[in-house]
Amino acid sequence: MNSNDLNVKKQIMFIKDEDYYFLTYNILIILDYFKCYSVENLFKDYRKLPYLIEFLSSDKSVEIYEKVFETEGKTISIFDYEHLLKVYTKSKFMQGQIKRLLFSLDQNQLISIVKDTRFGSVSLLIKDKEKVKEILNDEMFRNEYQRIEKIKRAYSRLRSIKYTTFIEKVFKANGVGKWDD
Amino acid sequence: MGRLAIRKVVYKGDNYHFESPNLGDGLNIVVGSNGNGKTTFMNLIYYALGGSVPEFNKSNENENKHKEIFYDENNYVRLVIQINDSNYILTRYFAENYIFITDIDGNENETFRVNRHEGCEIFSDWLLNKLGINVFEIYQGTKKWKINFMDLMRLFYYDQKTQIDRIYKELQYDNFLSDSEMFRKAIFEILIGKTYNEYYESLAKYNNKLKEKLAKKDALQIFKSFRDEILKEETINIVYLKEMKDKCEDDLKKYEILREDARNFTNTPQDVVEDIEVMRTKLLQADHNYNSITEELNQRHKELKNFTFLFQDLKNEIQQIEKIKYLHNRLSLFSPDTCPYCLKDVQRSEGKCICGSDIDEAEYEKFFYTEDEYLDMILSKKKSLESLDFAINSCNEDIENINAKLRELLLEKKSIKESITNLSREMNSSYNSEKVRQLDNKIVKIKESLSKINQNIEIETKREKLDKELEQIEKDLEILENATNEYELEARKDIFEKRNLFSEIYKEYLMNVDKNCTSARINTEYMPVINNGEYRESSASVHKRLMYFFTLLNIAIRKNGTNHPRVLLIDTPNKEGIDPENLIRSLQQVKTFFENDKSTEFQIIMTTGYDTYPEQFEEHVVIQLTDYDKLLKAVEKQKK
Repeated sequence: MNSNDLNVKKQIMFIKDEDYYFLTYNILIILDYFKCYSVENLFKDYRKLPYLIEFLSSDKSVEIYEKVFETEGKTISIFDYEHLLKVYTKSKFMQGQIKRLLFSLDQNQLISIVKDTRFGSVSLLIKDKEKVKEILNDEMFRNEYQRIEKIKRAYSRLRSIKYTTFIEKVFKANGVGKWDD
Repeated sequence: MGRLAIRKVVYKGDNYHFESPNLGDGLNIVVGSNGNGKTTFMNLIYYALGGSVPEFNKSNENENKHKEIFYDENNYVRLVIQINDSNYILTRYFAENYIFITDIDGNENETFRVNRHEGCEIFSDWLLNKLGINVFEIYQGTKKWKINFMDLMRLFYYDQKTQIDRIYKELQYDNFLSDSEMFRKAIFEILIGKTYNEYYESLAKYNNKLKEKLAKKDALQIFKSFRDEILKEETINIVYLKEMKDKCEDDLKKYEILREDARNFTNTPQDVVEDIEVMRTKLLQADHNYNSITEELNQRHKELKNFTFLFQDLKNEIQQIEKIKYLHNRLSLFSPDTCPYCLKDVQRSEGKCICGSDIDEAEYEKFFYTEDEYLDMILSKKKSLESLDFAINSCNEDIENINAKLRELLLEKKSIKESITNLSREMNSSYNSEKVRQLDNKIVKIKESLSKINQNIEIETKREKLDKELEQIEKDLEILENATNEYELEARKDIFEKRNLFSEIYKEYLMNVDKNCTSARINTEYMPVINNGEYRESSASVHKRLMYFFTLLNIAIRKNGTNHPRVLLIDTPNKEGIDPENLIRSLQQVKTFFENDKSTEFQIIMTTGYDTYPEQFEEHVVIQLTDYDKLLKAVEKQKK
């Protein structure tokens, strides 16, 4: 296999959703948006992250996320259900990858991982505020900030709720992941 | 081929005057000391022939002025010249840039400008024409330059200003093009080569034709795009168009007859029912078409939706990879040597995988991407985006076309329905108005397409004319190319022989006048190479140039068919640093021209100092100038 073939193969193997940089900038945007810079304002329960990243990465997903909260108590359409299911399974699959990434970011002094004994979970905060602010202060991230703004507006306690509550509200209430656990 | 001789030089002004005796064939010597007016004599000839002499120039205050002539008034110089067997009088006033020509019998009277101006004929053109030399343009790149008599004169006017080691007389104006090697070679070739003049003229014609061709091609291109803009249809050739026109005209006649018949024909209810039946079948067919096309439209809309979704998705992904690349650049957290499991740097020995197995380094895949690889991905995805964009556009075009078809069908359906209504109203009348109306519509349509075809024919005819013109130009171009090549071949063969002859004569001259010279020839650029290029003595330069000019004249006298006018002007060759004895030896070479009794076929006019010419030439001295008898004589006031 020559280097060109190898290049082509690598290009084909590339999965954007699993790219560590892709995950990194999304995580940093989420933490920055919720102003998680100190122990007083932690992003509680890191397990919510892969789901939020999935919602954050396309307008279509944000739209469905908003619908979930608008139609609380009513059944969602079959197409939206399918989409929600896709988000759920994809995110669940990403859990392990996110965990590894968080340890690495912690080692690189970008974020801190904090054990939350009262909650019995692991929470996060940005360690190097200056650097993160400076990197994210770019026009190219405007879409992401607009989307997370919509996500927060749909449900404001996102930062502090438990993982299980989040899953319950967004997925299980709509019949997604009921078979789980 | 023509021969030029100067027979008389006259200067006349309010303050000074001069008139030379008649100048004969062969050698004419003007002798004088410094400041007696030897150079003025030559300058007068040069000026009268259209040359530029800064000392005489009344508009240039800064130049080194020739006081007597500069401050003189109403002054002119007049030359009597002989071209072949005809004599002409040339008059040039000092304040003006015109030369007046009168032939000796006073029959011919003409005035020409001295300098080139917006393509009008100038004095040089007249003179070259009389000498049988065609005036042509020399092209170099995009620039062109017309040959002048003054250019040719650079090889038969031995002036004083030109630096001693040069051959060609210096230019009167600085001009990059006219002093290019190509141009200088052309001067030499025209003067003594055979058919070179024809070659250069043919080349100039070829270049002009080539330009014409390019212009015509451009015009045709513009015409074509203009036609496409107006007609928005594919091109149909004139034969087909005429056929279409004939058919339309036939149809028109047919329908007009049918219409006339219909007007005179009385209807029965049975006829009307039959007509209605025909119309209903047509309506059914139109309905069917309408439905199947609507189906197609829906299909296209579905495709468009899918494409648009894919386009948005891919665009989003490209933006995300751009962000990934940005973050990689800013943070560089991971590299191809990052472990995919713990995300720390991998420590592995060459040729081994992380697990310890042997691997081929070239094929070992790294889990992470470099910035370049991200960039490659962005570029390849952008290409896909372009394809999608193209697909969306063609989908939109299809939809537009289908919609247009649907609109047409709707109109057709409406008109069929109207016809049916009208026909049913006619059931009880005997007048055939609906049929007439239909035929009228048909006739209008045929007339419309006929006028379109006529417009098309008009445009095609014009295009055909342009095509034909281009074709003709291309043919002419080929003929010119062939002619140019033939002339060139002949000219090259001839110049090869002339070069050898030149080298032979030149060597003989130089060996006669310089004891150190052992060999001499000219190279392919026609420049002298003496002693194979090892000859450096500066006093030799005077021979180098003078002998060069002598050789040219020698060849012109010996060989028929050259363009050299067989005149040689030599202005005071005894420059500083030149050994007088050597100079006399050089000048003695003039006697070679008198061999074979050809002394009537050339003219040399030379100015020189006392004692700097061979004694045996005493009889050729025509003017003697001294400090008390200078060239320009003051006009006596009383006479004036």
